[in-house]
Amino acid sequence: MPLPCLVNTLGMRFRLVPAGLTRIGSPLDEHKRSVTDLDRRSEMIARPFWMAETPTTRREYLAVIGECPSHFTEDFGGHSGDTCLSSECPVESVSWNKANEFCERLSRVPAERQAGRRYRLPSEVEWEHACRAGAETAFSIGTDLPSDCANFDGTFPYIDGPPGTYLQRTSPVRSYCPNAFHLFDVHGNVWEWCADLFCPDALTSAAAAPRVLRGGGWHSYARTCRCSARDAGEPDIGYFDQGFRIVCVLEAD
Amino acid sequence: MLSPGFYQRYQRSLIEPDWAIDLRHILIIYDLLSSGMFRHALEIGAHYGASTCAFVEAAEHSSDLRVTVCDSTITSVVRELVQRSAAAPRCQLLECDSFEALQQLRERRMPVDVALLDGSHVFYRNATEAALLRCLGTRTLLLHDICTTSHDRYGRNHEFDGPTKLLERLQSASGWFAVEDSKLRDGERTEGGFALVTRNREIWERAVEVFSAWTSLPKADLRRATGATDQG
Repeated sequence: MPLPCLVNTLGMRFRLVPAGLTRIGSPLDEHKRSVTDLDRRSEMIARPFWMAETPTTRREYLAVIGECPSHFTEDFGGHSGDTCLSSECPVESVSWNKANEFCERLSRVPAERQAGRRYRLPSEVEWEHACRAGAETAFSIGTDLPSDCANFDGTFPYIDGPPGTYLQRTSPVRSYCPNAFHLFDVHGNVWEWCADLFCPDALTSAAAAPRVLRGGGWHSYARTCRCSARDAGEPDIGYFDQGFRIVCVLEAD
Repeated sequence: MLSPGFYQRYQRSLIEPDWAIDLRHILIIYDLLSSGMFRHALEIGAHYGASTCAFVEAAEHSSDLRVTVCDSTITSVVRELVQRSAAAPRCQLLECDSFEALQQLRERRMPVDVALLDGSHVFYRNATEAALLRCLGTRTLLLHDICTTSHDRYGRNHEFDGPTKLLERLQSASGWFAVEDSKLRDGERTEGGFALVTRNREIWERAVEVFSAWTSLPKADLRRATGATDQG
């Protein structure tokens, strides 16, 4: 049975990710596990939440912020045949601060306020719960990530084997199959900002403390696209493989 | 100023296999570290100590500089190099994996101002090192072998694309400043490439001067500056 779907005034689609006990992090024996992974543990998701079906696209970002950063081209929305020009590619080169600004500004759009919707970044527990969609394997689709299932550096596959495709750029969202919660691009394309600090004991000022990124991007090896893989990013910097996916909160909830 | 007889002093480390860091880049590291802009410098990947010379020499000339050298195997050459230095009390050796070293530094609450990444050249490792360094407040990175995927010296080997990909990623964002040298020079190994990337404009401006000074010097002058003889 498909998860309930919500569409906001921008046409962004959200799926109601169920609450409940979830297993996050990787077991110590997971193939190509990283020291930055969270240890495998159970977490309780207290309430269901509306997770965007895709990372925020360039079209959506432009509509809210009024400009659209991109490493690839300034020719926004072009039709040259290079899919990187697509307004349906995820926005990239966006910092954590900018991602939060997007949420705040979208929450202030009159039609959104009227509908009682506000927006935020997911916590990393929510992100991994949504990414896994019940799977306890390295990837939401199983124990491997072939390069026809996600946009990443296929030169370095997860399970040793022949190299796959490496597009060297973002691709339009929904180009690959969704996970069981009908969320697209949970592996690869762009790393996705989460609300959390990467390391609570960082030796930096609070404002500069690195934040969590999840999911891997077009520039990543397969191993760093695992459900439990994490990266850290400076909150004021956006790299060419960093975007974000938002959560919609209904005031009625 | 380098110690008189720098080359002779560190000769055991400077005579290195073909893939080692070039003398020209070692001198760039020395000048940057002794500029007074850093308080704790971390070297990841020491091997026979070619770049360790620059770290130790800089610590001798900058009383505020603390140095940490990390490698999964600390060779006897590196151990002696550090132990015999007048700056030895401010230098520590960590014989462990870089991830473990970075974890130890975090537990000991030791911020790192600048780090040389020259251990593993595999991207996922370098990216993870960069992530862990962010927790230590590191805002300046030195990257050796940034041309592994583009130069014949490495057989255009994508297995060692870490420094290349990390530099690409850092340079994709405004907010990082970079300067690099990867010029092919006869009889040198500079074409492997060496770069500084920093969040600090002042450090970058100084680095541009340092890179310019050492990269414009003919090799003979370079050797003279270090006290190397024709035999050395």
